[in-house]
Amino acid sequence: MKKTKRNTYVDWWKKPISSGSLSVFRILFGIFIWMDAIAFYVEVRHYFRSQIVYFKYPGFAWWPSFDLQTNRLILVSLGLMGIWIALGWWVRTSAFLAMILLFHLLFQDASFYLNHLALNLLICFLFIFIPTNRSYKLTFQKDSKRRIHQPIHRYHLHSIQGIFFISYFYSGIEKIRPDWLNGDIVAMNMAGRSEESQLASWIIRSHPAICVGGAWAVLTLELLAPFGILWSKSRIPTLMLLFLFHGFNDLTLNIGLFSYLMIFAMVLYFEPDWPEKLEIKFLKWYLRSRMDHSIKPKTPPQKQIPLKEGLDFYLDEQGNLVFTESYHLKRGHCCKNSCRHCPFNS
Amino acid sequence: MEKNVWLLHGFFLVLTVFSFRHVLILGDHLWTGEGTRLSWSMRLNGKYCHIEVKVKPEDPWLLPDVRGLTPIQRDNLSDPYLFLQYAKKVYCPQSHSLYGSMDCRAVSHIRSPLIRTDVDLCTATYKILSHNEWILPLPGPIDPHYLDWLKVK
Repeated sequence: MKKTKRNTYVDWWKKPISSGSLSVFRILFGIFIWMDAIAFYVEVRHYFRSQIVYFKYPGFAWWPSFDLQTNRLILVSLGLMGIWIALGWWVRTSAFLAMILLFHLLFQDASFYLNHLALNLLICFLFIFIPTNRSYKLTFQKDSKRRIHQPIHRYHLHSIQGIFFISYFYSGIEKIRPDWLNGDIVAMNMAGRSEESQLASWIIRSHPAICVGGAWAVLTLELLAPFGILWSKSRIPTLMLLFLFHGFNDLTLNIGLFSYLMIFAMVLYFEPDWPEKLEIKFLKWYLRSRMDHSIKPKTPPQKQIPLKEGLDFYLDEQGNLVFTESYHLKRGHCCKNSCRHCPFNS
Repeated sequence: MEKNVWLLHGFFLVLTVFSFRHVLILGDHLWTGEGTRLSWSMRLNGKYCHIEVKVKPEDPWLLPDVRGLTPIQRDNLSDPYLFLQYAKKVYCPQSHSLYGSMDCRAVSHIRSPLIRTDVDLCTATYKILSHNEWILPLPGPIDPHYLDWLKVK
């Protein structure tokens, strides 16, 4: 069959790759959903109660709104779905249910909106269609085939990466505006967190110029990070900068758990088989550490070379066999018998 | 299998265009709030509004009744779309007309009105994909002394 450009392009997307990194992300994403559900449960009264008014999105006025107790139950269910996703059990079904629950939380009242919830919703939507549990699925079955890493297609991994790439790049575009570039939005957010964060308080009171520098740095990083991750040579420095950026955000800004999700997503940007490589390294280290070092490996018997009189030894006047210096040097170590010609005396 | 690849392309195309719709809408979207939901618009920008309402044009301005709202609903009343719903659901069933005044400060911008005070919110509508005339498109100019004010605060 003749290979067209279109076929080559589709084949590139269909190429089998390791499912390692996507499965690790699935575990972390499940944990994140669980953490998020707990965080919202703790402050549930701030968001929901049996209120009089519900704000709706256009075309979704019919979507039902529930009372506080039902919303509590929804958050508990969402947390459970997160655990199920992390364990790799019925991931597609769990992701579908998590998507419905997230959709409900977002659409029952339009005032409850956070970008990271929309991001979770999109990831859950993709998790319904892509296989995310082909590695690192908790199983109690002894069938060895279930434990083997099974490959996925390249587009499975790129679909999740793409969501994060868009969110980084669009966030960067959003920041090309005067009140971001003069550092005022950063300063305002740090001032909002200054009571609980000493770092934010120190920056806003002593070094407000950091806000301006930080604003420009964030803009540059968010615009360039998607491309920096794609190029293997700039990948590690970009990921290090992103880690610092999200860590700093968590310490200084009031953005909830969003930084954790972005840090968790970093596992997707390395080579897809990195978890397997790490697993092999760990196994090697583990097996080496468990080895019994008291048992010395058997060395093959050395070939006996007959000693030559005059070269290796001689007989003195009393008839004693005396080794020559040449013999001692050939043997290479001292036998501690105070030999007459020992070269190792010193 | 090939179908899945093209479906994914379609999904990302829709996502990319839908998330970028606020750029096509007139005005500063972080000020008006138009096209910012389910897109990657910045949520770090704060907007503080002093809101007043009156039932008839000749009435005095009064603070709105927010007793039935949750804390997050009160915080988000500075979004004109939610404020319009609030007006329609809380006031319009009884009074049949409502005029609103939203005097807002968006981060470092000087305080300025966000909506037109002469528009009856009970008859106003909200368009999703284009600018709504009853919302003023731009915030006030940037206050050069904002950082000093913030430090003092």
